[in-house]
Amino acid sequence: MTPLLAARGVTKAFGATVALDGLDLEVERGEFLVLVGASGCGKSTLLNLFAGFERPTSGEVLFDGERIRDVEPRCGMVFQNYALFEWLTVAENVSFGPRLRGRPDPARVSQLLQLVGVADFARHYPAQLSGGMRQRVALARTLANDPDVLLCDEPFAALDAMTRQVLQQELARIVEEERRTCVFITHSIDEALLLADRVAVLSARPGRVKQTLVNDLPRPRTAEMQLDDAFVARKRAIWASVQEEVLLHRGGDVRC
Amino acid sequence: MRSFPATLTPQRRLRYGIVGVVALLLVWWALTLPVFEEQVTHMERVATGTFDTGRDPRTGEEVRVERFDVVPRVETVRRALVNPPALATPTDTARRAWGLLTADRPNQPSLLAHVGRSTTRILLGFALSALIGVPLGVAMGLFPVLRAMLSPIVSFLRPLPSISWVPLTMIWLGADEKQKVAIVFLGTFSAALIYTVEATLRVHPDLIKAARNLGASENQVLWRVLLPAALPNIVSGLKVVMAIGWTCVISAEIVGSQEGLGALIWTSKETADTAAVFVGMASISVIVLLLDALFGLVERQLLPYLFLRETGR
Repeated sequence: MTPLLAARGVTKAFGATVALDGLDLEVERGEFLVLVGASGCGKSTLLNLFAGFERPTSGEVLFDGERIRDVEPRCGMVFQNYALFEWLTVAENVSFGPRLRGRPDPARVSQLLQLVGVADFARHYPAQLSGGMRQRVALARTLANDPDVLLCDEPFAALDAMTRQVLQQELARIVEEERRTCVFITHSIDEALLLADRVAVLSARPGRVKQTLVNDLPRPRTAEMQLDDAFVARKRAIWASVQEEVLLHRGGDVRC
Repeated sequence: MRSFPATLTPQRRLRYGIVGVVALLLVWWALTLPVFEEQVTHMERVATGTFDTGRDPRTGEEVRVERFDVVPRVETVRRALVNPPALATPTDTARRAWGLLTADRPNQPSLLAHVGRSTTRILLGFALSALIGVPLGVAMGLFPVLRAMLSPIVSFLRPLPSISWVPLTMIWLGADEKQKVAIVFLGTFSAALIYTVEATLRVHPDLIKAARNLGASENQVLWRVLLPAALPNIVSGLKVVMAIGWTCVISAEIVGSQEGLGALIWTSKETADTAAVFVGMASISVIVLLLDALFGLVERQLLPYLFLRETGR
């Protein structure tokens, strides 16, 4: 079976800087893949390739077996800084994609607002919302476009620890309910283990997949699980792998 | 000692603001109060009542000529710290303001005519700047080639003070209304352009990425994301441009104009009419404040989301 997303021998250089060097990665349909790695290892570059914002210098990036040649709306992006449209209300933000195609679907919008828990704030503007709420809206906006894949670029990095934990669990629930494929970038190994079916550790620049670990911890995963032996053992394994890269290229920032 | 920065409630801010203004008026009034007595000595010719008699050498007639003495006369004058015409008194200024409002002198336009003329010139010049500067600025923000081509020209035009455009515009257009509007336009255009370019460049690239990712075409990105996202900074830039317009119109009106607040201030100088100068200057401030408030209202209507506070959980 063809993987939903695939990077085959992907190299991406920006001038003299080589961000990715011969990277191979496959993402199965319905899989939750988390990418961890030292800062500057090209994780965001990889997401930009999947989203079609960038083209690889060599190698190929495939969606469902087809080469990605342009911006790929079937891969919906969630940004760290939310990237909400400040001049639109919450409901207008969420319906932005469908309205572009002249097919507004108010019922689906309110269903999504319900799903991410901001139904009471449909008429609010983003400026009136807290960071966690904004990220919920951004997630709903991406889901409204009905993408096959969610590309999440450290979406919870700017949130406080409590909010982050709540949103991690909600994202896991939503992805499961909506049956989406997800490629998720994070600095936090805890976050990776709470969310991932599979964790891919990237090497320091130039980025390559150093190691992938299947994470078969039972779902639903809760905060308390972080104390279980199975969790700690996996965390230690990933930590050692990432740490090696960080030490190899000093100055990374990996949060534990 | 209290910690800084300390703040005041709006009521107290207003109260202290009024205190400040009243204090300034009091100082002004005090400066013009005739508090000093000064002895001034005049030399005066005083008739003595005695006469000299003699003959006119040409006609031979007898003439009588009265004798005069020159005597000092001491007079007591009351003086202020600063005397008119250097500083008109508050009451003189108020009287002059009323006089200007009611156009009490023949052949002189009323204050409202001055205000109306200046405001028209500014609004026309400003509208021209905005209509050309904003679209061109957005285009420069979007297209690096255009930006690279026009930036040196803009950098060259920007430092020119509006008054330096007076000679050329006079030669090209004469001293009519067109020339006044042209000076406002030339003096504000580069600012309108630069503010718009910066507003466009400051739009966060993730917003554009998000829109593209949601399926927006280039055209949709421009109209639905880039322009709305840049609009707040464009509007606040235009607010500054409007204020620059005032400095332009005043320099335009100093030369070759009978009407307008610049003309009022300048011609009043000729007659050392400080009161009229004060009235003219105060009018400029009041109108700028009014236009700013008007701009603020438009902003609140057009961009309501900029004036919101976080209320969500």
